[in-house]
Amino acid sequence: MSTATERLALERAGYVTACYTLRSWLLTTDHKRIAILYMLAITGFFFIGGAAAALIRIELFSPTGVFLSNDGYNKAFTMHSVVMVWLFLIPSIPTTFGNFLIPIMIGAKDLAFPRLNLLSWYIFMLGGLFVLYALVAGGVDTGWTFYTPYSTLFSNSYVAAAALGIFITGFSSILTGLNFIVTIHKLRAPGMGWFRLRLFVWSHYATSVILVLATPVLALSLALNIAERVFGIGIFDPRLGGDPLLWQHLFWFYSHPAVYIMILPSMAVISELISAFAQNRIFGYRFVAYSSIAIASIGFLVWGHHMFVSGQSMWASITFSFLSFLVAVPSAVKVYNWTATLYKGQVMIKAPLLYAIGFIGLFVVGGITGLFLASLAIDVHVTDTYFVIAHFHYIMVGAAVSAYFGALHFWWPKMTGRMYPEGWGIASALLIFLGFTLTFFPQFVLGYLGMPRRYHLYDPQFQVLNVLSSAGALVLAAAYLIPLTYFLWSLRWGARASDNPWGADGLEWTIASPPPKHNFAQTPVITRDPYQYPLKEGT
Amino acid sequence: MAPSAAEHTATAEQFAAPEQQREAAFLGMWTFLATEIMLFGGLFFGIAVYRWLHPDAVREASQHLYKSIGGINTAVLLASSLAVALAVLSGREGDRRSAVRNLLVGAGLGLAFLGIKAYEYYLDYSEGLMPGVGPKPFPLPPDSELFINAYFFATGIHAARADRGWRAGGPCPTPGDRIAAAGSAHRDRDRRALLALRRHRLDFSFPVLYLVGG
Amino acid sequence: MGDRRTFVLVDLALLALLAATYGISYLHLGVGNAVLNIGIAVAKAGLVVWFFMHLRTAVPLVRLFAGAALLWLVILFALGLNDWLTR
Ligand SMILES: [Cu+2]
Repeated sequence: MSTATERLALERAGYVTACYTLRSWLLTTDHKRIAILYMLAITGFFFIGGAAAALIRIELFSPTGVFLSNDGYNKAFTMHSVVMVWLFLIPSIPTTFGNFLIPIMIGAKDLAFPRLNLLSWYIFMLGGLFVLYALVAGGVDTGWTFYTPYSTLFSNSYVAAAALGIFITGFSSILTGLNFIVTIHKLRAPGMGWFRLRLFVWSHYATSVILVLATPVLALSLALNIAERVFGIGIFDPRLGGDPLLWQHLFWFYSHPAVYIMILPSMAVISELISAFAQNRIFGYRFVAYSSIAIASIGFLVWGHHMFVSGQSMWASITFSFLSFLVAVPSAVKVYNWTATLYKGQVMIKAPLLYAIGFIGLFVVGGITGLFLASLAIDVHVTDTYFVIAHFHYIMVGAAVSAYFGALHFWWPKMTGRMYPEGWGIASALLIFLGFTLTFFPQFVLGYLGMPRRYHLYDPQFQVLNVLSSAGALVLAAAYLIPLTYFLWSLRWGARASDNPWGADGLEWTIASPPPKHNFAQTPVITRDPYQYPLKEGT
Repeated sequence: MAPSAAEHTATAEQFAAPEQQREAAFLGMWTFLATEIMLFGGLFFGIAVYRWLHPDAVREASQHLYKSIGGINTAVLLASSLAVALAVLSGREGDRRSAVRNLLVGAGLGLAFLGIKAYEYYLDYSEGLMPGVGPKPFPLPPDSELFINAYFFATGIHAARADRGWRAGGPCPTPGDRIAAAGSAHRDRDRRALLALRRHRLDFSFPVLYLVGG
Repeated sequence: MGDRRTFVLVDLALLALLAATYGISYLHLGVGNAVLNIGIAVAKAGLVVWFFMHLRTAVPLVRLFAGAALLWLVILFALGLNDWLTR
């Protein structure tokens, strides 16, 4: 073989088979391999956070507790929330599917700064290790919100280590967002105008804006928190003239937009799934695209709805309440447009579509209960009850995790070159929906009846609903383990995937499964809008 | 922290043209600057809140800081910025010697800034103003301690950044990269323009810190 | 060269503003001090960004990015202080 044909063969080899050494993975700058590195890491974190959730739900089987001390329970729910929020949900879709797909979807060879991308993975892992250290060394008991002055003055747990870990992972978020923004601006293939971008890319652009503008404020507030805790610098301590609400303002300035860091990428996925399995053009493409930007922007104006009972001024509460209602508008636009896309589509019932439909239903429930919470009077009644817990789990688990699983099923053939078993896929999608509803619907009722969050001892009248919820959690746990099993199985025994197993439109479906190292043999030239169904041969 | 040296010297494979690569690097740098604005913005917000809650205490505290030293030091920093800006200009014109000379002047002034800062910290320390350490108890009313602490927090970050800046470092380089960046005037024009960009953002925080008290 | 002169002039302007801040701190104008200081700080930041950080010659996109950071800072201050100023 001449060297030219050898090089050609190497170019054609999938990104996985190009080289097998561990070193080639740990030093890779290939966005696809980095996506896989992230996927391995966050899968691990997902099951750690899930184990903590299991502890919580088992403990709540009985009104007098089962096996945890008060302290142990505090540490269990903190571990669950910190790991799930910062080590799973925030990075989940952007760092895996975003990393893998954005360059391909815009017709580029890689992200703009590949080495920075690898660096961000290492930063993420370093931060994750700090958090894990805090959990193993003795745990943290503040909840994921680290409210001051408890977290800085009174807690005897490993707050500083956990906060430092989150501080570090924040820089990984920032670098990922920066990389996406520059890539989407500068690396689009010839002819790929902004309104020829996939909605997946639009949503990730909006997410990146939040990552870049909100995360630094979290980093700063954690640094202040650590400074007060470790050096006794009075910042939030009221005895020194500090103001504990300064913490809440800075924290929620990040953490409300953070909800959109979790949900916008999920919406990105759902737009793709719905259009592919309805074999239909997305209804109102521009509205869906702009609504992502609107959600990202308005999402910055509402943080004070977490502080209605904190002692913030009534005028501030009214302002934040009003603005919170506004953010429902672009979210609703998306839901209507997805539904309209399904209408008159050639709907194929496959596992990814089931996840997408589950997402829409659960997102609507989570969103509407969010409006309850944005209303001042109702919020006073249900603040710090299970109603709030149920609300945000509908958004973060029902919606965001469902979208992650939907994405996993949809792009698994592209990423690995193997098909998962469809029957098992459908069964586990249904089981996840069932387990989820059984776990979290009773919590709405519990909260409305007045059961407070963060206690492991409760009034016996709440036991029936709690047992239902805990039983649901066990179903959910089993339902999450099934995909883990068959995905691993499929790597060896799954059927070979064709280039476009779903008959979907999009650049990633025009290249091999798994994609070659440099994605495209030559840079594609884009001559048409996305989502052109029915798909013509050869386009 | 954006592109690293290797991504900069030749056109990296993900770019179609050097021009595209240059624009991407510039955009990346500005995105990074935006994150820094938000980071310090959060801190300034906190200081604004204290100023509102305790106007008198903050005034007293800020009068206790060494305004003259702070002022001189800011002037030093400004001069150093100018040197770096001129170095970038020389680099753009291809005048290598002048570029290196100006960079060295900028770095020297940056060092001087750190030296003066250290001296100022020493004075603060002797007066008992530093949180937690010092030969004397805190000399001001407790309310003021807050502001002083915020001041140390902010100038600490500031000095750490200046330290990184004077080393004429690149975005995320090895020491070798840094030297190469400072030395080779022709290949690395853009690179130095970027580093100058990082350098200049240091000039922001002084007025707020020293003079909020008025 | 023109650019060189501009830089020197801007640097002198910054030094003048610095001197002004310094002088103002010895006057007692009540709220006026804070207003003047903030004004001067904004002017200085503007000069640095516009000239030294090359925003003057930057493409519109980069200016947009700088503007976005500024706008978000305003959001933080406006909605945050909206609480303290109305308690
Ligand atoms: Cu919120």
